[in-house]
Formats: sequence, structure tokens, C-alpha cells
Amino acid sequence: MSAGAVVAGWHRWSDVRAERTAAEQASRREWEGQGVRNPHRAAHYGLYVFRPIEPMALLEPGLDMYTGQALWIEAHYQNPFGLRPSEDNVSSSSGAEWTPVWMALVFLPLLTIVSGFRSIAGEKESGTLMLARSTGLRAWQLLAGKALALATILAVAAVLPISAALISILSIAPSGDNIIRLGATALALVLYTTVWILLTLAASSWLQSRAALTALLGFWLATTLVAPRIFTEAAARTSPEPQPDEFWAAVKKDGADGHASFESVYERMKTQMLAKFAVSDVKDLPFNLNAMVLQESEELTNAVFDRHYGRLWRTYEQQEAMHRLGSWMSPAQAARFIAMSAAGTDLHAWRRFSREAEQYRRKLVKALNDDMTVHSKSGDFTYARDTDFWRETERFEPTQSSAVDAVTYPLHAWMVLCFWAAGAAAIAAIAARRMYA
Amino acid sequence: MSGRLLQLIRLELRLLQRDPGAVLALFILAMAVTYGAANGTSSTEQWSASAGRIVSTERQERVQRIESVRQSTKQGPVLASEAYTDATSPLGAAAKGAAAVLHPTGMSALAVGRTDVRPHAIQISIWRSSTELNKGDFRNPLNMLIGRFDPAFVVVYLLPLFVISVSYGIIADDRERGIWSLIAATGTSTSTTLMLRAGLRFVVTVLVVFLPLIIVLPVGSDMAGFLSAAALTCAYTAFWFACMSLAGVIARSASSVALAGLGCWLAFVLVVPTLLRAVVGASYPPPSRTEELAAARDTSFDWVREGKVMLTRWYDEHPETRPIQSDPVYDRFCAVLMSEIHREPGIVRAQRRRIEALNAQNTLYESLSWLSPATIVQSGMAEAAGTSDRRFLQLQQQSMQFRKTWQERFTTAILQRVRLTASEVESLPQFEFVEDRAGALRAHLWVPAGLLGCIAALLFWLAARTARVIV
Repeated sequence: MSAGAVVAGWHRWSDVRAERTAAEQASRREWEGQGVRNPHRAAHYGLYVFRPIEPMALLEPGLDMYTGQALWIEAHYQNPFGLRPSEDNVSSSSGAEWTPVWMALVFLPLLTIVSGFRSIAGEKESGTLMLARSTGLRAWQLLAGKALALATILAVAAVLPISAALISILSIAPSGDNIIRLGATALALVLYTTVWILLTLAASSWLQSRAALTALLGFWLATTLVAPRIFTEAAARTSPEPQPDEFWAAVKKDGADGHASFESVYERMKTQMLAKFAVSDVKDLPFNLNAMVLQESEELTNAVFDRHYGRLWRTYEQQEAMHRLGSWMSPAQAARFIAMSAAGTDLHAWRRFSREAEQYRRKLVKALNDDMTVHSKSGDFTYARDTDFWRETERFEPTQSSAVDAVTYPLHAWMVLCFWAAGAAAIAAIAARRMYA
Repeated sequence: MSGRLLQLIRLELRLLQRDPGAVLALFILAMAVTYGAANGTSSTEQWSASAGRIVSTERQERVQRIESVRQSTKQGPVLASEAYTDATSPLGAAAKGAAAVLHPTGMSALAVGRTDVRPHAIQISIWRSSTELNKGDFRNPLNMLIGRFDPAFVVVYLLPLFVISVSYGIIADDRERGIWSLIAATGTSTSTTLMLRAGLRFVVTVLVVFLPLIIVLPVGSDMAGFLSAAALTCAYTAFWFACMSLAGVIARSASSVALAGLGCWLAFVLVVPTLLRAVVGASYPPPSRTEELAAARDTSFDWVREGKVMLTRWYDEHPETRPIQSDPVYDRFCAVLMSEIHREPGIVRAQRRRIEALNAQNTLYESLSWLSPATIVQSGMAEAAGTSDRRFLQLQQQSMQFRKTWQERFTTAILQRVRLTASEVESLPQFEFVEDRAGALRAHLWVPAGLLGCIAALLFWLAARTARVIV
């Protein structure tokens, strides 16, 4: 199933990449082919930019399903992301996805539990543990042997999906960067599995097989399925996101409403410019005052958007902090944070793209307004540019964080996994000490 | 016989009471249901508040417009300078638009369903690009990825595990201790004992699930929804007890029964639904979004130039709508409107194809959902809650129809540049969501509940038959 998930992930990744590339090119083609048009009208016409998809996303699509792929770049408005892939599925419940990392996080512990809950308890119940002791085998040696056996079973089960993942990633982009990202994901999963191996053996050593099974399954359920959702609710309650109607009403109230601020800004700037250039009519100004006012209005609305989107991102950060806190109770969540970060499908990567896209929007709109300001006169609404000009406008080229940044960003998640691994090792050591008691 | 039965019931209840594991499991289940219901309620309140705000803002704006139109003394055709600002201008009213709003049902707290993915309000305007409400929402994708802790999650995911935990030992414990044959020797048939034990646990579990729901949720406001959800949940619970009873009589040790139950849970709750979604998505992939965007932007079309040609043609074909005075700036608005109307069929076609693909996905998903009772219950709970994909897609379809009505209502008035009267503003179309809730509940809850109940009964019957021959 995991190998199947890798293959399915590869298909999904290929489809998404092909569609986004085609859409990006189509959007640019539309932009360049819009014909003779006034630059400000072109700014209203706008263009779409699409979030690139990294090769590692085939293993962990993370937030990609829910963030939306496209952003409409236009004058006066900083738009939220649109076209979320999750809207294209009938999926009536989130939290369960057929992706390689999700499969590993959910099924590896179960495989560990089912294979290992009787490994020591069974020996105790059948009386063979004492036989092992009589051979001079120390408790820790027995535990280590059992751990190694369990690890071997899991490794055998993982050979196929790991090979499929390696081949897929390296066939798409055989770079050192991707190997580091893949290595980090693998390391997180190894740590995660180690936690489960040690906890399974400790429970098997401490409890009877039936009790060990119940305790381990309860623990798996609590840490893998229940705790993350509890922290989702806590995050949604303590820092609720605004509803779209609330958000836009607040934005409008603060003055970011298309051309709404144009009149007041125009009057103010007209007085200033007429005085500065000592002329009595705006038509005598050596530039297009209307275009200058458009840019000034743009700056004003940008400040409003900075405030409101800033608040929104702070809300997301507070919610993410809640999830980080929750990951101390869920090693699965911590491992997933690492995998998402390595795949460039986490909140951090999304914010990075969002910020770059907004910077691009502002730059593009300013370039268009400035062109009109310099090359036309006030009141001249017939001023237009053609295809050559649109071709020269800057292209949007989002950057990707380096592999090292992506791997080290979820530092808390690494700490959580190390904490769990150390804790599980300590518990297993105590269990080993009491094993023959 | 009835006295003996009562005695047995009392005995089994006492045994259940003395089982700390079972008591703890049921207590945790009750807490989980209560917590889920509280979360669902909170989420529904947000939805309800947002829908209420949108409707009330629209109502206030309409009242203000009516008042302004009444007080207006303006005569003659609408001027370009007042096209968007004057209350009597049809262009202004058409651009302002109206919202197509989907309200929560009384049972929406049962399942978050698709509320976190699909919008509950769609702004309808004569201009597609001027509707901020449609530009997306601001839900944190991280929360969406992990999923919510609502009553549907508790019922679909957790309830079977609690059933497993309170029932895996109902026969195996006695068999392991070697007293099952003694019970059989007391004169009570083993199948009766099995049914009694499973039945008692079923009743207690159902009570533990529904008492918190009745206390926390506004059951009275949507009794039909609640009863439908209750029937389906009972059938689902019965199914799991039946599975465990069958496993109990087949497997010898309690651990084996528990493992068998866990295997069923994994298959029915995690694996099959996940694979089903993947299969359904691959079977009916919605058309590319690029196509929709391309239809909306149509660069081959020169908005103003072609729009002007279409406008001239319109006035030639409908000379009665030609305004008395010409206004080049206003004509430009009209030309853009004509181009918007020209692009409309392409956009609608692309949107329809998307909705059709999603409806086809839903139909296939429903057909295949019989592979996993968890899928049936997940869909059924969302249906009872009014948060199903189907309901949100209905909103989209109906809003498309409403947009057509809205556009038709205003087009002639805008092109004629006539002013709106107060009575015309009062009679502007308003969106009303049309649904057949009773039919939806019947098809998606009562029928599946009945069939699932039958499957459970069949499994119980098999378990009872097998129980007679085991020792």
C-alpha cells in the first residue's frame, strides 16, 4: 500500500505540475497578448501566478491540498489564494490521505505494535523467558535483539516504498538538495519508528500481552488521531480566523476599496503638485497626475492590506504555535511537520510564496502606474501600451528555501522526536532492568 | 423465562459495572462526544453568525437604497458619473449584487463536513470580478489538513474502537478461563448469552453517545435530522457489535478477537475510505481549472471594441431600449457589460462541467460507500448536519441560476439608462436556497441505516448460530 501511495503520489505530482505549468504559461500568454491597452486597465486585468510544486511533495503534499494553487495579481487588491485542490474532491473527511508519509505515520506504529506486543510478554506467559535468562542472556541484550528483529521486519516492509520514493524523486530531480530533503524525512520516520519499537517492547516487558496490546493501541490512537485534532480545535478557538465577509468589511472600512480613495487623494495631490510646479491646470503638469494618484492610492491600500493580512498571518502563527505545542503529545505530528517542511508544503513555504507574490504584485502595479505617470498627461485616458511593453514586464519567479533551511526550520519537531526517542529509550531501559524481576 | 432473563440482565450489568476498563472506555467516549458536540456547536455558531451578517447587511443596504430612491428627485437618463454612486442607477444596484447564502441546519454541529472547504456564501453581481466574497476564504490550511474533532469524527473513527474495547472479551474471556462450557450448562443457551451481552453493551454505548448529544445540541430545532443521524449511528454501532460478536465466537483468545476487530477498523475506517476517495477522484477528475480561468479571461476577445459592436447590434435589434441621449463614458460601461454577457456562457459551461464531475464523483462515492460502513456514516452524518458536499454543490448550482436571473433583470435597464423606482428595488430578486431535506435524509440516512441494520442483524444471526456450537 505504501509503495502504491508513492506511485499514486508520483502521478498526482506529475498532473499537478503539468497543470500548473500550463496555467502559468497560459496566464503569461494572456498577459502578453492582451493587446493595446491602458496600463492601469492592464493592472485591473491582472494575471495569475501559481505556486510551484517541489518533487518532495509527491511524498507529502501537506498543505498543498488546502492552500490553493493560484493567486490573482491585480491592482488595488491583495487577494487570498484560490483554486484549492481539496475543492475538486468529494473527500468528506480530512485527516486521512493516501500519501506515503501519512501511511508511514499511521501504519508503521500499528505494524510495530502487532508484531511486537507479544514479543516479551508472550515469552513470559509461555515461560520461555526464564529459559533465556538461564542461558546467561542479559535483559538489555534480549531487548536489543527483539528491537533489532522488529526493526528488520519494518525495514523489510519499507524496502519497496523507500525504493519507489527514491526512484521517483531522483528521476524527477536528481539533486543534492532533494537528497537532503529525502534524508531528513527518512530520518524523522526512523526516529518515529524507533520510538514505537522501544515503547512496544517496554509495554510488552511490563504488561501481559493483552494489556500491552490495549495500552499500545490506546496510546497510538491518542497520539496519532486524537491529540492533533484536539489541538486543531484549541487553535481554532483561541485564535479564530476571520470569516471572509468580516475580513473584507474591515478592509473596506479602512479605505482599501478599489478606487474609493481616489477622489480625496486626488484633491490633496492636485493642490500640492499645482503649487510645486507653479501651474494652474493639471494638464500643464509634466506628468499624469491621475496615474500618480492611482499609485498613491495603491500605497495607501497596501498599508491597509499589510495591517489586515499581517493580523491574519499572526492568527495563523498563533494557531501553528498551538499545533507545535500539540506535537509534544504527538510524535506523528512532529514527524509530519518535518516531512512537510522538507517537501516545501508547510505553512512556512506557503507564507514565503504569498509574500513574494505580493511583492511582485506591488512592483508590477507600480511599474504600470509609473509608466503612465511619466509617459502621459493628466486626463489622458487614451494612453495605451502594446504587446512589446507587456513582454518586458517582469516575470514572477518564486524562490524556494534551501534544503538546509527546510530541514532545520522545524527545529521544535526535531526536538520533540528526540525527546520522544530519549523518553522511549529510558522507559525501555527501565523495563529491561525489571524484565527478570 | 422473563424473570430469568431479567436476572441475567442484572448479572451482566453488574459484570459490566465491575469491569474498570469498560467503564473507563465508556466514560472517555461520553467525554469525547460532549467535546465533539461543543466543537461542532462553536463552528456552527461562526457559520450562522457569518450568514446572518451577510443577510442583514444586504437587507440594510436594500432598505437604504429604497429610501434613497424614494427621496431622489433625479430625472432623465442615468449619467456616467453617477452610474455606480446614485441609488437610482441600475448599474450600481446590479454591481452591488446580492448574496446567495447557505444557512446551517439545526444539526450542523454534528459534522463540520465540507464547511471548511466550500463557501457558504456566494456574492452575485453583474461583474464577476467585483465580488470579494468569492475570492477565497481565510481558513488555516493546517487545521484543514489535520481535521476537526466533531461528533462525526467521534462516531465514525472512535466509536468502533470503543465498541471493540468493551466487547472483545464478551466470549473470549470466558473461553480463556474455561467457563464458557459451564455457562452453556446452566440452561441458558450460549447464543442467548452472546446476544444479551452484546445487546446490553449496545444499549449502554448508544446511551453514552446520545445523552451528551441531546444535552449539548439543539435537538428540538431539527428533530428529523437528529433522529435520522441517531438511526444511522445505532445501525453503525450495531454493525460493530455484530462484527465483534462474530469475531468473538470464531477467534479463541481475547487478543485475537481484539486484533480481528482492529483489522476490521483499519480496513473499514481508514484504508477503504482513503482508497475510495483516491479511486473516485481518479475516475471523474474535474476539468482543469485553467480552462475555467481561460473562459473567464478570453483574451481573444477585445472587451471594449467587440463590446461596442455588440452594443450597437443590441440597440439595432432593440431600438426601444436605445437611450435618448448618448454618453460615451456610459456607453463604455455598456460595452464592457455586453462583453461580460458574451463571455458568460463559456464560464457557465466550464463551471457546469466542474460541478457535473463533482456530482459524478459523489454518485460513484455513494455507490461504492457500501464497501465501508464508515463511509456511509461519514456521508450520512454530513447530510444530517447539512454540511454535505451535495448541499454545497446545490448552492453553487442555484447561485449560477440566480446570477442569470440577476443579469437578465438588469441588462435592459442598464442599457436603457432608466432609473430604478422604489418599487422596482423592493421587488429585486432575492436568493432563496431550495432543498429537499426530507428526501435527502431519507436517501442518505434512513435507507442506509435500514440496510446497515440488516447487515448487522445478519452478522448477529451468524454469530448466534456459531455460538451454539463452540465450547
